[in-house]
Amino acid sequence: MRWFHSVLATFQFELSNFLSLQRMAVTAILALFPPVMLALIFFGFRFTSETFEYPLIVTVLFVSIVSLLGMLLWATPNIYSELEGKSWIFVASRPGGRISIVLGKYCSAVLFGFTISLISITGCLVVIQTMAGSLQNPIWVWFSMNLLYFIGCMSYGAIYSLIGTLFYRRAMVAAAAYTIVSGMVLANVPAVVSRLTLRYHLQFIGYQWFGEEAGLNLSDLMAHYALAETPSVGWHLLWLIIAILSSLALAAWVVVSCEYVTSDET
Amino acid sequence: MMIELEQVTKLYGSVIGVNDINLALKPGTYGLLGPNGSGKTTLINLILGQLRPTLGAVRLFGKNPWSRDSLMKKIGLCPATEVSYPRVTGYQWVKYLIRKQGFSSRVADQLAKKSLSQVRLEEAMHRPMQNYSLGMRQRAKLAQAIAHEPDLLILDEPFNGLDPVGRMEMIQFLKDWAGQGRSLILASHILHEVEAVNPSFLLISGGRLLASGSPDQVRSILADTPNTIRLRTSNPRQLASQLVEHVAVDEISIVAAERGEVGEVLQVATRSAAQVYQALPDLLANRDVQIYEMQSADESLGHLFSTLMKIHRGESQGGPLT
Amino acid sequence: MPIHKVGYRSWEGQKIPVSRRWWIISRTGIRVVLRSRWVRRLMFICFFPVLYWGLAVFVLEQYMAQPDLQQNLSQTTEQMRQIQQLDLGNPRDNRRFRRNLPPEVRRLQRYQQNLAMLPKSDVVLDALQSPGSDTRHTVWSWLLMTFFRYPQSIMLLFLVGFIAPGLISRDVRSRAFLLYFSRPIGRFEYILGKLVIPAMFIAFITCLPALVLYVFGVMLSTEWSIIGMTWDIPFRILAATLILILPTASIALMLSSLTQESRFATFAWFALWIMGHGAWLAIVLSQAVSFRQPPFSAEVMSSTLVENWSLISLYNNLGDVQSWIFGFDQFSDIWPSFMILSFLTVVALLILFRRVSAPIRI
Repeated sequence: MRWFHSVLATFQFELSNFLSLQRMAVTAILALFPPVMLALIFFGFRFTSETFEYPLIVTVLFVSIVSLLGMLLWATPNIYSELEGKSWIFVASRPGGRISIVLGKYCSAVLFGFTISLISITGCLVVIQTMAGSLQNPIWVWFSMNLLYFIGCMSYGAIYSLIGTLFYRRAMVAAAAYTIVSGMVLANVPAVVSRLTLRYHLQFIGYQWFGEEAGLNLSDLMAHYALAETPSVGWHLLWLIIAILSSLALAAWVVVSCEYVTSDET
Repeated sequence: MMIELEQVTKLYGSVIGVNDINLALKPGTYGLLGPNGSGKTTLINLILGQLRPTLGAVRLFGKNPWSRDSLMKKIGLCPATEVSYPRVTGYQWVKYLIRKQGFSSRVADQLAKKSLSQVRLEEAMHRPMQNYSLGMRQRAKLAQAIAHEPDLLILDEPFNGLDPVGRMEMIQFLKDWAGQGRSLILASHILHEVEAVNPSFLLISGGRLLASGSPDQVRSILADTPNTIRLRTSNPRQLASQLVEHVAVDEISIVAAERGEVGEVLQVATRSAAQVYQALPDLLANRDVQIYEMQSADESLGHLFSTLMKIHRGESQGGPLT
Repeated sequence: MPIHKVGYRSWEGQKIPVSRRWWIISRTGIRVVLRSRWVRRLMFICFFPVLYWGLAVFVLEQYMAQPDLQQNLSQTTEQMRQIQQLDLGNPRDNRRFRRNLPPEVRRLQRYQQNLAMLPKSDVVLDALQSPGSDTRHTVWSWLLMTFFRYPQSIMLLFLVGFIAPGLISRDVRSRAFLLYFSRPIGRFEYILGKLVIPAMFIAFITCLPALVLYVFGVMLSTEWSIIGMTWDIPFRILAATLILILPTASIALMLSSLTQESRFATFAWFALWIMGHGAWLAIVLSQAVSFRQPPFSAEVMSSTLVENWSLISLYNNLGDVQSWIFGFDQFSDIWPSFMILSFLTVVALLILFRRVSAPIRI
């Protein structure tokens, strides 16, 4: 129970800090970027003879960008924000303080990241249905996309939390480098290495849940990765859960084992 | 033992934080004295398990604090660092930290209000901390340290930023705390403020523990070392003529009294203040000389440390080295 | 014996002129940044692409120096052109047909498709197909343009993300403005001094290796007259560096001045690049699916949607202006990108001046 109270305390404290003008403005910009961009693209198409054929693909990519950015902002500087604000010693000198900081900030980061994606997805689907009306099952698409992005926020949040404990002074740069290398390079390689990336599994789940509505063909993806048959969604989810739990466990171990030296001590 | 350090050394790269410290402290009140950069904060962080010693071993209540953070339930820490949560109120911050001790929200609420009223912040506790004065932030830090009623309270430079009234209140609070039988470690670079709490002293400089002991033992170090005594008397010249014959007196000068004082002032430079103090009653007997005031001009932390360094370098006689 | 005056004396010697005082801020800032091992490692890594691009220069010089190889290259590029013009259809629709093609043809098609993803590669193919006196100038310019655009611009993103966010935010946090402006230093000197810090590092990873590549090319050439043929390239390198430095350094410092916490400035820096370029990439990928073509294929890149929305990407805007600087585009083609970069630079500097001029908190 002590652990639960400590993690919950961190979660609630971060939530209260979130309700500031600056942070809410950042969240609003990130959340509204995809629907605004989508609306502008649709509007631009009105002046051409072409049609915007696959808006859902653009939606998925836009929302991925802003969700990742949200997780980058809130999950990565878990240790550094306390060190920079000189409040590390206050929380670290509590029983279980170090681990509860990592877990509590992880939970709040997932909530913020998911909030951004929820608003974005809702806005984008409203724009698509209003401007094109091309979705056949919008409720299912909305639900499945939100579920996928919730899982994505949890997955990337865990990895970013781990990066934040390992490279606390340059956490965001390290996390950005990880995202680019793993998400844009390794995940595209048709080899075993791609199965170690989060994007590979999230991609397959997305294709199976709403790929058809988006105009994406699962067989194209399987051909790209040279797969004869694709594992079930359950297998991908299991892999992601293992990745989340192991990242968080490793982050907890790192934060307990490392010395975080503040400038006052040197 | 409450705290034990065995040959503890802490290095930051090639910079020495603390150097070969041996310490065994029973529950009680201790003043950790040292100039800025002497290693006080490093020593505190080693005791708390926030830093791992490069060499040696640390034990807190018999256990290694690095691997047993459950020991933190018994510790209250008021560090020197400034608090930096501009939009958070004092109450919210203290309650948050109490909840991180493992208390439920309801219990934390009660403890927060109680500790904030103990430090006289109850009227201001719902104001954002960015509107607090330095003294109020210091009191908020103290509140979060004492709220969970720890066995050992550690304060690092608690008098920073406090006005004279605030200092007096802090001293009284610490005396009351010690009077309740709880342990206290008070780190500071100001001797007379620490002295007011009447602790045992731990004197640290350059990462080394130079001396430890009761206030009387520390005073005796000063007493047997070169010192300048200032005497305001009714007849300084007559007293000077008596003192000049004493073997411990090196130099005598008569200076004008400072504004508001009566009479002239006799300054006696001696190689052993204790011998002079012992000799004074005999010198004054049957003489028509009255002493209005007597003080040592060198009773400062700087003098204490320079004396200790001389002893350690063998330039001066002092107590036996351990 | 004369008694010397040892009390306080005011300085009667020469002081550094006001026009040079900004350099003190820059020099100190550069020294502080260079203390970071990660920055030094990153700067070391930034020189690795020189090896790869240097190899390309070396291969080109070998081809240019040997008529047999020159003819061989000319024939190869001709074949690649022919393959490009062949209607092999949609790669996804005719896999069986493509599998039956001779290996040599499939190999050339792969080269052609990979090369087509790079900007202005058709100009280079034309130059290689018909080698002439300006082949070197064209190919060198193209190599330097791709050098700036691909490896160095991406490394610039990370290097500036390392260096810039804390430059002003730490001064804001620690109230160092009181220390700066209680001395005879104005806002202009302060801002110029701070701007030069990321500028020097950007120049180190772009201008310096590019000049090294140019000198490498000259050394491998058969005659000194190559300098006469390519004398403008060093100036283009300097111009391209300036185009990189001005908007990026200004924006990075503006973001740093807006917050006390450097992590928010770091986030904003990466968000600016990722949101802009990521959004454009999303559009490219959707068009690729729509046309059933590989992303970055000529058909996809020439679509109205992709071309129009290219302007939201800061990375693309910089690339377009560099393309003009290296002579592959006319100003009339890239003026929107130029205007956007100019606008961003001016706005960033105005905000920076405003933030530095804001009332100092005590």
